[in-house]
Amino acid sequence: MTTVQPMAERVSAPPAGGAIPAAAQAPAANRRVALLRVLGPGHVWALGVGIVLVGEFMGWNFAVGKGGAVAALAACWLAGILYTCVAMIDSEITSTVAAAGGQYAQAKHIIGPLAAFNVGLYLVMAYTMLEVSNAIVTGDLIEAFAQSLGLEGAIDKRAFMVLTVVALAFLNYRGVLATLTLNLVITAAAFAAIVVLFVATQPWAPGAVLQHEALLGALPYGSLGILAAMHFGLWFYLGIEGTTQAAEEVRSPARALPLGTMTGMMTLLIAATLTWYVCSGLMPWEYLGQAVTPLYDAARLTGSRWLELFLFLGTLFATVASANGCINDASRAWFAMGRDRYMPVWFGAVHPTYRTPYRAIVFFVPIAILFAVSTPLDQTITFSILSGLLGYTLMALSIVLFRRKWPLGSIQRGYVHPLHPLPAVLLLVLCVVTYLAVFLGYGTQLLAMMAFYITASAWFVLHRYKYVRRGDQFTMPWPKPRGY
Amino acid sequence: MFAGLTLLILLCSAAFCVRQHRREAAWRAGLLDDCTGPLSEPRLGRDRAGFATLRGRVGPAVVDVRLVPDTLVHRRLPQLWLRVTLRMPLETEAVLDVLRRPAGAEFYAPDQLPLRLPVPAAWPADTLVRGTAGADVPLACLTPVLSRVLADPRVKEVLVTPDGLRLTVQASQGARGTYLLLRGSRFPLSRLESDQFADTLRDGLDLARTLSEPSSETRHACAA
Repeated sequence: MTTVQPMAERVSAPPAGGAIPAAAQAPAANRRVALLRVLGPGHVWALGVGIVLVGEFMGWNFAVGKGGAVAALAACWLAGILYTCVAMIDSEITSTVAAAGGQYAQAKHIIGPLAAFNVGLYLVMAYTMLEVSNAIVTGDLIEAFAQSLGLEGAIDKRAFMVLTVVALAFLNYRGVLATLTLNLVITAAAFAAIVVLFVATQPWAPGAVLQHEALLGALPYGSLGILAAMHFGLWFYLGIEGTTQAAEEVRSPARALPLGTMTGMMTLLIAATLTWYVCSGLMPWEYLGQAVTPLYDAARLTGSRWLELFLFLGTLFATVASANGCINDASRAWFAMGRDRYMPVWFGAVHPTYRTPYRAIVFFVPIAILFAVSTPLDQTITFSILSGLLGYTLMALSIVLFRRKWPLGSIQRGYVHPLHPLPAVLLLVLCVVTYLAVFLGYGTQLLAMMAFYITASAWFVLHRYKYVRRGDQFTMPWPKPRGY
Repeated sequence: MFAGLTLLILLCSAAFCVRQHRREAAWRAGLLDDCTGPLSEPRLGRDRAGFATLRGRVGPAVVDVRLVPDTLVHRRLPQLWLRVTLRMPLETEAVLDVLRRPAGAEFYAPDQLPLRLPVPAAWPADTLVRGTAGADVPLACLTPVLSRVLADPRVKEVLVTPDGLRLTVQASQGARGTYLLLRGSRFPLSRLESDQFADTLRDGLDLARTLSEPSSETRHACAA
């Protein structure tokens, strides 16, 4: 599950602010650049679903452990409302703040350097913990598959966790440029694996394979379980808001972004429900709630070796691709912070041959390995979700400030989300509910994370900020914000 | 049989990757094959990453052409920059750098220029103009030509130094799907079009000529 939709280099953006003389515009018209404004709602949908689908293979099932299978489904829907608000708000901000860099650059322009510093840290932490989670799943998966082949005890999963992190970091260090065309195959295989598993379990014949009647109990912890499950409910969609980052390439942002994002969420909801339906009909909630590879385990329970192989490959492809994306994104976010002097400028170095942020990549290798071999999967996922959640909370504050500093009509917006400030208020309320849910199950981790961010912020304000080049960072051709 | 099939899948994947790697290497090496026309004594080569390079001469200038893949900006599609350097003595003591749409990660642009100059009114607002002491003089001289050059949205950077100048323009932008799924950089470009290279070269020569042999109009601007 990766959390990024990239923006295009704004080669066709009209020259904002100053007008270029007509004579000067002629050559540009003759040499019109392709690629811009080519995406429709279908593209936004496909790309959003493609990158988030990986989350079906692991992580979501911890919601079952917090409140039972039914609570997990309820949390899935509640999290859907949270992400609807996120998508609406992010669509407006992204279609207006046309600076590559995603939420980091947006926070820099709308709130200020301290918020940008924190958002940068959230991104790095979310990606790194997601990478660690993927490495853990890969290790567990390979160990389980080796056991199926009769190699029990011969394989140490920690070796494969380390191997995954090191191998992918090496590929990112070398900057593999377009050497793989397996991406579509990988996504298609991952998607097909879920569909094939669903069909193979004969959902049209309850009781034949799926045993919902026997396994699907009531809420084991009552309605409090639904609240607790909200924590991992976010996993169903984490990253879907990234579709709004395609604002510069869609033909009609006002139509395509919300439409593509919402239909993407509906698709994920259906995929999540299918996954939930199959897994909850094959495994008791007590087991499902702590499984590392729920879909692969479900395939093993069907007794079909072919299905097991298919789900092994699907899960492996999906997690490795996701881990690769995470290493790439975390290193770029860290590199950007180094370039902006938010972090030591040493991290802003580029490899002379491979053109990669090699110091940022290498820096995170031991950290990822340490977490992978020492921390349980549910905790690394919690760290990732918490970082995402902190970002969403800032997003709610961000849109309020954005509308206050640059009211409607003062700058050109690609999309204006309706019912402001209702989505922001609803988002804040749901974020608070989710913090409470995290506190119920992982209070220590929540407090540790808050302490980390507060300490880091104090370091930034008291020490690091004096190195920041303030003037060079703000490049949006906007009027001064109201009140300044 | 089960283990055999797994091994077969792994072998097929490895063979596929080797084939892709060879194809990629050939693609990188041939990107500038159509661009030798405007240069005298053209010499094609490859840099350490396997991308094509081209050297040659145009008039008094030694021309150095390189392709720079850029995947460093967080949440931006990969870019393939075409960098055309004209090495020749120019009539300026200062360094001037004009950067369009700065994102802070432009590793190919100079990072330590001390002065930030105001952006001329006719230029796009998201332009960063920096330089060393005295950079306002070449900026004033070059403003009319730069206005025309910067009107092409593909132009990313123009760097002017006493030893020559350099233009960086977008050659291609990475495909979104490839980037999203595996952070791959697949550029929908088989070879760089000779027209684009010729246009960039012409822009560079115009800038050099304007600095070296000021016309009455630019001389007036410099004096002002």
